[in-house]
Amino acid sequence: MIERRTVPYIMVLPAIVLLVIFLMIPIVTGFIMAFQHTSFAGETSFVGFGNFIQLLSEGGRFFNNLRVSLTYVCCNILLVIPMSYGTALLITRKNRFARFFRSIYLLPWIIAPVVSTMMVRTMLNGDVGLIELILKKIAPDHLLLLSRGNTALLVMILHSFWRSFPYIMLFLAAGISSISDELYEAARVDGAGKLRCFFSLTVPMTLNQLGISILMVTIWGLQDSESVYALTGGGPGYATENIAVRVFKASFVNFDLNTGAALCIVLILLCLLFMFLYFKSLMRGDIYE
Amino acid sequence: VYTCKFFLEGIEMKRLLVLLGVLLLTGTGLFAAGGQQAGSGTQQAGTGAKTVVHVAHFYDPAAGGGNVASMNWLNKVKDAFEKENPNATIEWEYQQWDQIDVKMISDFRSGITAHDVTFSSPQLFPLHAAVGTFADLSPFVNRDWSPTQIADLSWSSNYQQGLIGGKQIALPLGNHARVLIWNKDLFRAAGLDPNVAPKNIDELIQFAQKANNPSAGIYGFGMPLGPNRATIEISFLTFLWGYGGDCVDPNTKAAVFANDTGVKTAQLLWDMMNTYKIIPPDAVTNTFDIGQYFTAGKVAMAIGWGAYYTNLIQDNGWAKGLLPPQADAQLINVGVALNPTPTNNVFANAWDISIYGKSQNKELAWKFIQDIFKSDLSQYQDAGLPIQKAEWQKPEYQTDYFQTFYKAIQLGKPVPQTPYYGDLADTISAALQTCFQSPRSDIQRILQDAQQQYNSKAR
Repeated sequence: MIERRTVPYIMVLPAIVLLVIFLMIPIVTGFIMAFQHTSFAGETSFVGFGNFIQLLSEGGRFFNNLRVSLTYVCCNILLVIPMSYGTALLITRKNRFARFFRSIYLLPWIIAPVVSTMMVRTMLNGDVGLIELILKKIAPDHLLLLSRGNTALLVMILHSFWRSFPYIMLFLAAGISSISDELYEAARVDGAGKLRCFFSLTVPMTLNQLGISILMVTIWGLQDSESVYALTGGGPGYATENIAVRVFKASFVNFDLNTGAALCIVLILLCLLFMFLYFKSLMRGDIYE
Repeated sequence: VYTCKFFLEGIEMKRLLVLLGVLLLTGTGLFAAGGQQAGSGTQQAGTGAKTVVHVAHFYDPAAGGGNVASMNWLNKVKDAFEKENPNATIEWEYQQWDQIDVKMISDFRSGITAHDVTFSSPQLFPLHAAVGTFADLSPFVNRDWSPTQIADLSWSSNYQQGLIGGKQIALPLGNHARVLIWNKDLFRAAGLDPNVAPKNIDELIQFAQKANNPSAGIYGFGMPLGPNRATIEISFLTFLWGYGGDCVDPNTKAAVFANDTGVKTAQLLWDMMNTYKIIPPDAVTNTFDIGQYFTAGKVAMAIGWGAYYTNLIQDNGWAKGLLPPQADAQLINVGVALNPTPTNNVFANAWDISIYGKSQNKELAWKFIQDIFKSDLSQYQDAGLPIQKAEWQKPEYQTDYFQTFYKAIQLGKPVPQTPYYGDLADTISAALQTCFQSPRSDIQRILQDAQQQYNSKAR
C-alpha cells in the first residue's frame, strides 16, 4: 500500500523524469560544451573561458549581437505592452464587437512565424513587393527597407510586434476581465472618475499580468532566431544579427557547436537577468501564494 | 488560469469535454495508424530479409515542378536497382536541400548509422573531409570503372572537388557553372551592339552605364550582394579571381581577403553600387534573385547566370530549342559570354552523391550510385549540364549557349578549400555589405577588421 504522503511525489515523477531528460541534460551538456573545443573529427579538449574570451576579442561582432538583441527586446516591449494593454481594455468592454475583435486580433499569432516572415519578405521585395511598390509610388528614390541596417532592424521589430501583440493582448485582457465589477462600482460610488479607476484599480490589479507579459516579450525577443533569420539573415552586414541568430548560424550552419554553446550561456544569463529585474521590480509576492 | 477563464468564457463544460474527447480519439487513432504504417514497412523489410539502403535526398514531390521530375528520375533508378538486387530495397529519406550536409555531419558525429547514400554539396567537402562524414569512393571507382569511364567524368573541375586528400568523397551528377548574360533589346535601346559582349571589366562598366536607366527601373548590371553565400560565390570571387587574388592562403589557410587584391575587388563592387549606380539597390537584400530580375527586363546584363535559369528565357520567348537541348536552338533576345574578367574564372559546383561514412551497406550503396550513372542523367533536372564529356560531343550541345557553359565549366573553380568555408563566406558577405553602407575610404579598414575577426579564431 502506498503511503498517502508519497502519492504526490509519484504523480510528479513522470514530469520530473521528462524535465531531466529533455531540459536538464541538454542544459548541462550545453554548459559543458561552452567550455570545450571540439575538433571536426570529434576530439574534445577543455578550454576554460576560451570560447567566451574569443567572443569578447573578435572585434565588435559579439557586442553588436548584444546591442541588436537588447534593441530588439526594448523596442518590442515599448510597442507591444502599451498597444496590447490599450486593445485589451477595448476588447474587455461589454459590447457586441468585442468578441469579433478578440478573434480577429488573434490571427497574426496563429500564423507560423516562418510563414508570416515570408509574407513580410515578399511584401518588401524590391521588385514585386507590395509595400515597396507603394513606397516607390510615393517617393521614387525611396530607400529599400531591407537594404539598410536601421530600417531592416525596424522591419524586424515591427514584424515581431505584429506577431506577439495578439497573445499579450489576450493575456492582459484575461487579467482585466478578472477584476470584479463590484470594485469599479464601489470606486464610482466614492466619486472616482474613469482615469482614476484605471490608474488606481485596473493597473494595480493587473501588475502581475503586466510583469509576466513583459517577461514573455523579453524572452521571446531574446530567443527569436527563426523569424529574424528568415527575414534578414542577420544582414545587411551584421546589422540585424542578434545573439539567437548568431547561435543558429554558429551551431547549425557553420557547425561551430562550442561557440554556439557559449552564446547560449550568454543568452540564458540575459534571460535570467531580465527575469530577476522584473520579479524584483514589478511582481507582487501574492502571485506565488 | 486567467487566460483560460477568459478564453473559455461562454463555453459550456459539456461541449468542452466532448471536444477534448474527439481530439483525444483523433490523435490516438492517427498516431496508431502512423505506427502501423511504419511498422508494416519494417516488417516487410524484415520478413523478406531485404537489406534496406537509405538514400537521403531533398526532393519534395508536393513542391511540384522540378521536384516531381527529379523524384521520378530517382524512382526509375530505384526500380532498376531493386530489379538488379532483389534482396535489397531503397528507402528514401527527405531532408531540406540546405540542411542535408549538416544533418549528415551531425548524425555522423552522433554515431548514427542509418544512412547509406546522400546528396552532398561541394562547398562543404573540406568540412566533410575533416569530419570524415563520407566514405572514400576511390576503391570502388578504381575497381569497377574503366579509365575511359573515369576520364569521361574527371575532366570537370567538379569531379576534382570531390577528391580531397587522395580520397574521392563524392561524385558530381552534373555541372553548374555561371556566365555573363545580356538583354539584346536593352543593348539596342542603349545604342550598344546587341551581338557584342563586354570583353573586360572597364567595358562591362561602360556598357552598364550606357544601358543604365534607373528612372525607368532598368539597371545596367546585376549581381547578388545580399546577406547570403551567393555574394562571395557569384560576385566577390569572380572579380577577386579575375584580379589574381584569393580569399584564403593555400598554405597557412588564414584568410587574406583584406590584401590589396581583396580591397581592389571590394572597391570595384562599391563603385558599381555607389559611384556608377549600375546595380539595383535591392541587390544587397536577400530577396534579390538574378533570374527574376533579368527576365523581367530590369537589368541589361548579369553575371551568375546558370543553366538552371534556362527555362526562364525560353518561357519569355527570348530563346528556343534550349530545353530540352536541340541542335537548332536559337538565342533570340539574349547573348551569353564568359565573365569579362582577366582570367574568366567562375565558381562551379554541382549536386554530388556520396556514401555515408558509417553506412552498414557500402557495397549496395555503391551499386545504387553506379545505377545512377547508368541512368539517363538528362532526366535529372537539378544535375544542370552534363557531367559525362561524351555528352558534350552531341549536336544539341554545340550551340553558342551551351558551348559558352562548356568553356565556363573548364574554367570553373571551387570555393576556397577550407572546412570553415561557411564562416568565411558569412564574414566576407557581411563585410561587403558593411562596406556598401560606408564611405569608400573605410573599405580597407572594414575588410581588415573582418579578416582579423575570422583569423582570431583558432582554426
